[in-house]
Amino acid sequence: MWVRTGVARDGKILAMHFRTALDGGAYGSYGPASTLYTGALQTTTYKIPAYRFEGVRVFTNKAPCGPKRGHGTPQPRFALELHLDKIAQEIGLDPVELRRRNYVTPHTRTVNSLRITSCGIAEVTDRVVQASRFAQRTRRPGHGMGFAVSSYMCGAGLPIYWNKMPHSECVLQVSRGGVTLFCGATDIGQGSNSVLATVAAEELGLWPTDIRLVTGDTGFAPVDLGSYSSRVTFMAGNAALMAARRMRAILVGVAAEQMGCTPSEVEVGDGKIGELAFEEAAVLAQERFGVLSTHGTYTPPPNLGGSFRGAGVGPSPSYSYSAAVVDLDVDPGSGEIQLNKVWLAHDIGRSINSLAVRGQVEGGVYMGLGEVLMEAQAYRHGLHRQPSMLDYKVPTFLEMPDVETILVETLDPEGPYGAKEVGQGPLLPVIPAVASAVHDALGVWVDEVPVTPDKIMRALDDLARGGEGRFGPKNFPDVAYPTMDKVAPPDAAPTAL
Amino acid sequence: MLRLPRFSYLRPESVTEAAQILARHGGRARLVAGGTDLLPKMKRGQLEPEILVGLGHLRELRQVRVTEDGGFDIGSGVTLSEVISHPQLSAAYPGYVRAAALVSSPALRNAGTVGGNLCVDTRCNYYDQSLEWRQALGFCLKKDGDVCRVAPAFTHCRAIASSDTAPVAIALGATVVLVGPEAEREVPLASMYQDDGKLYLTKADDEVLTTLRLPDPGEWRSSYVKVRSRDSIDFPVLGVAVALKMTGPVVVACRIVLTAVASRPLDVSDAADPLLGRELDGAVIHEVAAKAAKAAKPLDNADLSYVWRKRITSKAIEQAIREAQLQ
Repeated sequence: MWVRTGVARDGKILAMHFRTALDGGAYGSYGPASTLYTGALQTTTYKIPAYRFEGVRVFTNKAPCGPKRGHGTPQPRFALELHLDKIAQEIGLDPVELRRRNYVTPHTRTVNSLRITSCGIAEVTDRVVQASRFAQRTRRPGHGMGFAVSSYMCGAGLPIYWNKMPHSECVLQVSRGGVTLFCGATDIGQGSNSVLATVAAEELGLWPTDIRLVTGDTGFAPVDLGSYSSRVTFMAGNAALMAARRMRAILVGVAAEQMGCTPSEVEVGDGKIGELAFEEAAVLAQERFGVLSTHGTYTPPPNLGGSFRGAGVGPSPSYSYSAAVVDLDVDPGSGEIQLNKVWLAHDIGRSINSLAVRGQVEGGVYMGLGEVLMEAQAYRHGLHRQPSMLDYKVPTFLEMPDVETILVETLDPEGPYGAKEVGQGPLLPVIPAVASAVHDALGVWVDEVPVTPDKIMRALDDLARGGEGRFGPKNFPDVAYPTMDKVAPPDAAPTAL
Repeated sequence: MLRLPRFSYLRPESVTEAAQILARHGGRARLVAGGTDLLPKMKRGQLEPEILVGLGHLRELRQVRVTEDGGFDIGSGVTLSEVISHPQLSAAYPGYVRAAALVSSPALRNAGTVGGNLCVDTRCNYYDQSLEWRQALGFCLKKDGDVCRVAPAFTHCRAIASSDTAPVAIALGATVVLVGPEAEREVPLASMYQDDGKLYLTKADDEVLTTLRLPDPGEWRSSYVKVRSRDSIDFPVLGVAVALKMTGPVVVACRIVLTAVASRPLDVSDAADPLLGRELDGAVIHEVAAKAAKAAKPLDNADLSYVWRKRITSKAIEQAIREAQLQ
């Protein structure tokens, strides 16, 4: 990666040029999308009036690789956040303040035409800085704290298989008083089933445990594009919400008739539709209409992104925001890192199931720590150097520091009850925040993951020799990028919703 | 998924019978107690015994006894977890017990034994791989091949000694009892190892290690410092054992044994001579550690950079001396 940014004396970003080169292994996989993602989301955190991106993906004689948590955005986020730290140092500005001066604001368009709606980037920054006492951090040898922010999509605005079908659909069936929700969404452990049940239950005045789910089975359930792109809560959640609201209207209508009042006077909750038990209302409605069935769909709005080449990657109906502070100690004699604590504030829009949300945050922090401290796809003599779970190091329970999760609710205008994603975003700021904390501790930059003791010592050597105290790539390959498409920035006026 | 190959399992009635079985079957048979080293290696085709001779059920190997001279005999079948929770051993040999506590994870310490850890196979990341990986690269001196993959110039295997407990036990002057089909012998533990990654044990194939004999701790203090990626589970990429005998503040004797820097535990006690008859201070500890570290020659065949492993050896030795002093 290579990045050059122009900033005014007050720290305002004027222009940015970002280049990436990806080692994609021997097969295409999601290559084009992954490559574009390395340039798409820099603009969703910072206002960049002029932006140039060039990316290339190289075929190499290595194992095929594909996207994982953050799809092409953890790498540029690492570069961008460290780059901003360095700019802040250069112009003598506090790194948090530099970022604050450039944060995107709600209901705006980015330079690459991405539509920003709810945006809690300022709030997550405030919360994480306050909780960690980042600004008041005490100085002791080898101790450092690092800060970084990030943003991620709540589902891709365009389908991975080009078609005009809805991105997610639900069928809600009420029969003999029992409720069943059918949806193609697949719970891969992230808790999406819990979200769907909670949404349906909320509308019908029931408990989530009252909802029977049929998910993932493409024979029984209608279409959902899948658990990727942090899309399920936002998209399947909205489809479930639409289906449940339609079902509620049927039940409320029947109950109002029975009670001799208007539908707006019927209260729903605690297992009751007005004066009727839910099951009574359901049976009354079924007597009249037969088995009750409603459906809901979700299709992202059409105006999420631009129309230039590559503009299909990056648009999303909404973006989540995360901020992290990492507290660590580094032994200057060995470069070994002791993690003390990670604070992570996340703009979840609305937390539908806080336990599951916190689980995703902690999981993201965990995975980010593995990526920044240990993991490497290293090859030797053409073979993977660490082809087993003993050799390919990831943290265990004992390597995990305390994680303090802070949830910020910005109530997204289009998310179900205002909810946004949490599956991928919280991983992103952890990686640069660790490298930043190492710099805070020892004054050296390790501009390459994993940040290992060896690299820290070599950066210290560089410092001792009078260098800039840095370890990392020294040059960027000379790539013959194709001719650039130049695109005028979109109308900066707020987008009507 | 890797599966265990087929093998026969024999259950001898005594240690002598175990040795006789080994003698009868030659290299086709191997001993198994905890199995934490052996069984994964059988899955990866690194070791291919046809017969496993079980020791886990032999009560005679599972005892900890105080000896007549005030030392301890620890049966080779005692688990590492039993060592860690043994109050007398913890008081007498803190460095040895510390080393046992740093082996792998709790589950593996519950199965892994004192004898098994002393005999644990040498490691190399060209060797500790699946059969398919080794086939793809080409086999090596340690198994099935005739070239060293770490460096083709090496004429013998440089897989690294990886026992955490051996260096401390050597520093404490331990001996081991080896029982053969016809006779038994007691030898210094240090002499059980040789600097050849393939033939790293001098123990005969038909001998059973039955007892680790630790001498009277007397005034000896001991410590063990282990360096690795993850303190939760990994093998050592460097281990430093120190045994220190002091009269008041003055050092009377000091032994330093390194592991994971050669194919056997490396005794670098000669480097400690400047400590003798002196009080410990930062300068002399630094001098001794720097001298002792010179013998360490890590290679690019383990986790973490070998340059870094060499670089921090001296620091780890200093830390081990200080920890021994503080006991």
